[in-house]
Amino acid sequence: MRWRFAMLSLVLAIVFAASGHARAAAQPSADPSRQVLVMLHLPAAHYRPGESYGGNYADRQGHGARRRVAAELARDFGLTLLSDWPMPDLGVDCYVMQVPDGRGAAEVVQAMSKDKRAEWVQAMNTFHALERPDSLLALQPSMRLWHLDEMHKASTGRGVRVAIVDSGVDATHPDLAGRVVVEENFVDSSPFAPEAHGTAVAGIIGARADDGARVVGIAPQAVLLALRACWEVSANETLCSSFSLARALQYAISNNAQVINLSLAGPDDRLLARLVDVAIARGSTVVGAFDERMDGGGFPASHAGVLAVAEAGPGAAGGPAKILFAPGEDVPSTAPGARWNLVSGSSFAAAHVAGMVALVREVSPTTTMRDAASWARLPSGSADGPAGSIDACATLRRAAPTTNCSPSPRIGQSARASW
Amino acid sequence: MCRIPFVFLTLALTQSSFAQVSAQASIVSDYVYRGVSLTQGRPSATLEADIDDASGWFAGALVTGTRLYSEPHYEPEVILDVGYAHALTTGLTWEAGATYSYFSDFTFWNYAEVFAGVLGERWNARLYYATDYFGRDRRSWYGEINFTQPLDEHWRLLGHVGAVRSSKAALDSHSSVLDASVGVAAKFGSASFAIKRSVMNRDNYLYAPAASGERGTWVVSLAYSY
Repeated sequence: MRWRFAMLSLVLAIVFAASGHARAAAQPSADPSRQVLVMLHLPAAHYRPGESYGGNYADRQGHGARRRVAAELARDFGLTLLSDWPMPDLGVDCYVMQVPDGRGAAEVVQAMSKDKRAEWVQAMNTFHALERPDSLLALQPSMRLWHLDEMHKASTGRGVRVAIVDSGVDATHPDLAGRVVVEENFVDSSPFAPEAHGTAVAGIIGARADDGARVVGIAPQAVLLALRACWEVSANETLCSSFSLARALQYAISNNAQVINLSLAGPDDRLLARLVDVAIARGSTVVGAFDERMDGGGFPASHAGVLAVAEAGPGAAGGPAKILFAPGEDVPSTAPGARWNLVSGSSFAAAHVAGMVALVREVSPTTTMRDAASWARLPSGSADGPAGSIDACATLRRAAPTTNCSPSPRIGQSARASW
Repeated sequence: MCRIPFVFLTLALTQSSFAQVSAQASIVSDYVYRGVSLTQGRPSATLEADIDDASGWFAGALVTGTRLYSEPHYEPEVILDVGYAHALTTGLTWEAGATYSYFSDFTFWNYAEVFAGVLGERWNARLYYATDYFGRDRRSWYGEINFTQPLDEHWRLLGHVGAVRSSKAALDSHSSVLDASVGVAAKFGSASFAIKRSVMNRDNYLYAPAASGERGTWVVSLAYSY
């Protein structure tokens, strides 16, 4: 038996020695504009005579081979290999490489794209959250417009899995206590960091609705997956990268998120576009914030199959039919450190829609609401909001006909009092 | 017998720039193959090399030490494989292929096997067929289902259920045997290890080696991938 103990000791020693090993994550402090993403083909999973694990990709057999190819590519093109992450739903491994000073990332992408060892190469894009500075002066509870208390009699989003791909969420906030079932950090290896944007988005989507809550989420019984893919640069600026977003999306897909909220915008991105396509193909509803400063609202709002959401306002009536308009101004929500704040921007309008999708999917799980035409809109003169913006009650009523929302503004009084 | 290695070598020599070559070295406390120890409960070392072509074709070779029938020394066993895998959808793949198991000293145990399988994200199911399983001149089927459940970035649960069914022979009281295993595995960078409890429902005389009489055993393995 001596050899058994020797072997076990060896195994444990190696495991503990290796436990400090962690694959480098995308560093938020690094300049993404100096990085490129290189995709290497991931062979389909198959039999191997020495296979001892079930499943396929997780074991990452053959990863060493791709890592060597990536190292060769980096050496051949004068780059520094930084990190990698599997994207099994796309059939690729994604490698992050640093472009040296004096060379442009676009030039490197063009040159590497001709190399047949790479499936494809793209720039590392930067995405930003759609938030603008605000004050607490114009408090306008959104509950008044959507009649949440009435809608919650029909649905609370119970059990619907909503992935919040954003900056860090403060899951210890009193209004979010027990609401977040998953916290994953795809930005760096530091502990999960609560940040303002992600915490506000999470509060709008799924803050609890019991008596002690200061704000009520649209879907207070949805299952929240807090996937940190963005980081705060300053109080009013939150950034994300192609790589961190891709890792979070891959996680959301693998963990069967039914709703994926992307309150952010950036340039067209092939890697992210393919992941969004996979998510949609698997039945997820993807919600993206519309950035009016970018063509088509920026990615992902501009991507086919993504619900593009802008702030409801006077322009909603004449806006494009494919854009949804939801409350996005002076929205009270949760803030890190057991605080509350008013937030504005299409990020938070998107969060309303993500929560709304969760309500619909509870009562009608196969209804994805991906077609903007399936959403009811308010007529002109409505007390529930600007013409052309979402008529939440009517939308939910299509899935749950017994939903009965009063058009009176009475709820605004109580919401204001609770704030 | 010579066809499979020939195909393997052809693939290896004509690999395109897309082909990926990987290798793995491992040690295991007991080489348990389909529920049966092929080392009489002793440890073994294994070397494996694989080639994956971008077209979906793959091939591999594995060399390991066996100790059958209480042999006083280890005898190398070589398993060659070749096959094709194709992703049907994201997360679902089918495969088909063949293997050839070669024992350098006791060549009458050599046998070929064909297989087909379906692989999901966290499971796979395969069916194998051999006309001369372990050189016993009997047709044999082996079906298996493997599954894994990630616990975190490094750790995962493992499970396996398999059943071998063979045409009857005079000396065997049973023509089918079930085996199963459950355990945990971890992967840290290129190193991985697993610990499993492997069991079977009865002694298995379908194999060339005499059964050790133990129907359950702990198996610890350590591997390094290149």
